[in-house]
Amino acid sequence: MASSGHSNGIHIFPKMMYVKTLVALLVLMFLTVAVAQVNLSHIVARWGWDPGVGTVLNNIIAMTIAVVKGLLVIQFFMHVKFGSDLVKLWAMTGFIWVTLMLFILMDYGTRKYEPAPAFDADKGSALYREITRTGENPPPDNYPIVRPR
Amino acid sequence: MSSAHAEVENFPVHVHTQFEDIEQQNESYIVGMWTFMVTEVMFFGALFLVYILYRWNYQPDFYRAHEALDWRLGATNTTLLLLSSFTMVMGVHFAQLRKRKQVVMNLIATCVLATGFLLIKFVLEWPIKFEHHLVPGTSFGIHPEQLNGASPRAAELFFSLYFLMTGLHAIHIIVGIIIIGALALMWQKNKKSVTEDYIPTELVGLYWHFVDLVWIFLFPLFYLIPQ
Amino acid sequence: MSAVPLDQTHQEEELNYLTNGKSIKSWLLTGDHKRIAILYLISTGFFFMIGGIFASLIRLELTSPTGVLLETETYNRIFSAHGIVMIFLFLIPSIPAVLGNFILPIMIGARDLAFPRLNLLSWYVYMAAGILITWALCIGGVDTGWTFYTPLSTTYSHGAISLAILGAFLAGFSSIFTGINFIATIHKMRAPGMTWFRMPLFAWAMYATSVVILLGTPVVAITLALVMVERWTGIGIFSPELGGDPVLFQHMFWFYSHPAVYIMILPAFGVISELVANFTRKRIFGYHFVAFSTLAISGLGFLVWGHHMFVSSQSMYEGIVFSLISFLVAVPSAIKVFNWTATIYKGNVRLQTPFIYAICFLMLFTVGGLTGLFLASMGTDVHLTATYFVVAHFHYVMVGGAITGFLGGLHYWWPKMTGRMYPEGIARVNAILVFIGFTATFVPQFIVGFLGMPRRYHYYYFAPEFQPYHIASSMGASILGIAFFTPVVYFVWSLFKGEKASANPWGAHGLEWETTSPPDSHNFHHVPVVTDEVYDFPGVEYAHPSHGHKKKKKTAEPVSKEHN
Repeated sequence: MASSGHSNGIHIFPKMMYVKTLVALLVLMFLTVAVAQVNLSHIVARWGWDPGVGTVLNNIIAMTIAVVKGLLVIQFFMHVKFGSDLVKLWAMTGFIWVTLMLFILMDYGTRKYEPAPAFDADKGSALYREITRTGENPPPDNYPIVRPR
Repeated sequence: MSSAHAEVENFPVHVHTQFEDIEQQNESYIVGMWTFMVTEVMFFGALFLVYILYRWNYQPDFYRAHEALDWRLGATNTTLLLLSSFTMVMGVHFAQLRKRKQVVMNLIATCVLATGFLLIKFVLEWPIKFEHHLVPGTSFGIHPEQLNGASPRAAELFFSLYFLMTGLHAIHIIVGIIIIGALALMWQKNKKSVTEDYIPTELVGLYWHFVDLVWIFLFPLFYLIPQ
Repeated sequence: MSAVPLDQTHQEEELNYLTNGKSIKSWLLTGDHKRIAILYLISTGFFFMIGGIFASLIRLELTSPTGVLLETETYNRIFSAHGIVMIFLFLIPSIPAVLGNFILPIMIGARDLAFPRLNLLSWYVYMAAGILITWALCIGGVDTGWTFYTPLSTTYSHGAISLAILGAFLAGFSSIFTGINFIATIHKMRAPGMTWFRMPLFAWAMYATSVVILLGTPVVAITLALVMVERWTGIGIFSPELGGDPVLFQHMFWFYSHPAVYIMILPAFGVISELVANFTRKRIFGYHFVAFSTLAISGLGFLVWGHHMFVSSQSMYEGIVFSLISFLVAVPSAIKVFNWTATIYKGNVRLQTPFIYAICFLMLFTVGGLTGLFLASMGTDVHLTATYFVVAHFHYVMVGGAITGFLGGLHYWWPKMTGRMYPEGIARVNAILVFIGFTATFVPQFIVGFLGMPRRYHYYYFAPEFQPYHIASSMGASILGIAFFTPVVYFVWSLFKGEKASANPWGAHGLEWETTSPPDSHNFHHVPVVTDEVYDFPGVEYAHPSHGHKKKKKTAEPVSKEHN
């Protein structure tokens, strides 16, 4: 950061930098929309691979483009590229930490996760009775008092 | 990319009592704003986590349910927000040069573009969902043909997440419009606290870019689900 | 700034932060971090008493195997209230918002925090949270426990869940604002010459705590907000019959709530570092180790949330990973305890009240931490989870750890904050009474826990042989209650009749001891320049020449010009 005398040492960036960033962002947006129209599963199936790979590929491409767009916004519009190391550190930390939180998904990757059947299917179930309960709130506490042994 | 070290002549300097000099004050405010944005990243990140989990588990149903969303409207919204980010950063640029008229113009433009975003969302996108009974709640899925063959439970999850995440994002946009509008008003009235210190404008700009950033990720996740 | 000498004889004529403006408006619209700290002290103290009342009801109820005066539903609401009030309204804000707000800026040589108005906002948000939670408790409370597990909280409970959640949400934001303030202050506003490694360990602890607050609290905010939305609209994010997963709530909730316990204990670690160094008149042994282990705990603490969920149907493989990392996270805490003990060895010990609390901390926290290891190992946790063993473990670390740290710090900095000394004799006896009462309360709970007493049950008629333990615990709780209430009495007494304190009544080392007691509104008349190392007591001989810094003392370099 330049600072001398009584000025604030403000960096004033050329307008063209912002314009170029905007153009890049718009181009990337059209690219991501265009790629999404292409049905990668079919293309991939024609090559003889499992069509699921095509879906994954499409996801990866979409997310990569989103990340690049995000980086453009962060680096140029939010001036992180020209900021102090501390600002760079904080900007990174947020995204690293979100990634860390995604380790929650590790649980679901290592066990079979099945949602329960719809509750209203079983009209006699305790679940159903509890949801449709009317009357006192809270329900009366009528546990029998058992004499201690 | 070279940056111009333009030093604005006679830029008045107001330092609050707890700071030693203007550099410390400016850097403190920027550090403070970034730490706040880290919390916002974690805030939205948790919702992204829920979304990723359910999309992973219900991929085909999410694909079918998402066909009720119009990607063209989404793309228009994205363009509007990107443009608004541009006008915002231009507003900050002119704030550094203390050019009042251009600042006010750019801030107003940002508000207008953001309002356009909200109009498309609340007038063109959301009411249709209500009509087709795609809003989660007791009347969800009454017209099964609207679901495109997705299982109603998974589709309800998709739309819950859709309304939650775009709704939370819209709340941030509304707050942003209010703040940017207030900032534009203060610039228009030549209030010293904003005309003689570019930092408030910069901080509002950071917030607005963050809102744009969230939408950059929301758009492909909801509107561009591959088969 | 005028060069007014810091002469004690002029103290009555100078305005300090307490006398500078005496109207209610000057207190309620203050930007002065010291006044905000006092506001927090009064409000957190008040909520601590409320939480204590709920604790007494719990202990009263458990003295009989068939329950004494509460029905099941009511008991559920009482222990939930105890948890919510104590955790969200007392433990999380206490040391950072009271001691941190007051002492941190003075300790690093700043005139105030970086964002004074944000600081005031954080207090108002905290009060709003307190009002909401109190309101929720008054209209019936919640019966889900402070953990708000789904699907009880989203679908089946009839309590005032949304209100309580809104209160917890706001309390979270209050702590986020405090955290933002501390981080900006510590990075940018240290006095010239105060490098990171000349900063007292209390400041390191505040920094680590703030990082944890920022990275964890938003997650629980969203999670609780999702519970609220699910209650109102009936969507199924956490409901299995609608395609959701209740264990996801637990993952997201504990992703914050485990780091939350580090938010509660890290500031106490900071206080203990200060107490141990200043009451043994010795530099903390292994200062760098203590500083880095503080950061390590704040990082590692985010990787262990699953140890609250070993029996929740999360996958066994995840459980193994969490168990392993939970053992690892005990290491930095142990490093600190070893370092503090090594500091006391051959130190010039003065057994005054703050140091008694520090010793209580070392003993109680060590026991608490060690019992945590039983819970970290999956095999034993299956037997011990949801029993009173867990209850005793977390009370050992949170009350025996965090609250003794808070009390120790409050006694230590009380002369600085108010300019008065509390009565030392009574305070010393009271400190020992805290230890006795605490041990009597929670050791029986360990025993009854591994014998099988479940937590959150208000009756145990199936095992009446537990009754003697519960009665012993309740007796201890009465002693503890008295011991926690007595400081309120003598602190208030000291405000009027206490002996006036000098600037440095403990002979301690640190920038906060170089201002007047109580400090001036702007803390310092001129910005101090730091030239000596941290905890540098004059005339101290070290047992080994390797104590102290190996590098020669550097000349003071202005630190505010650095980029970090």
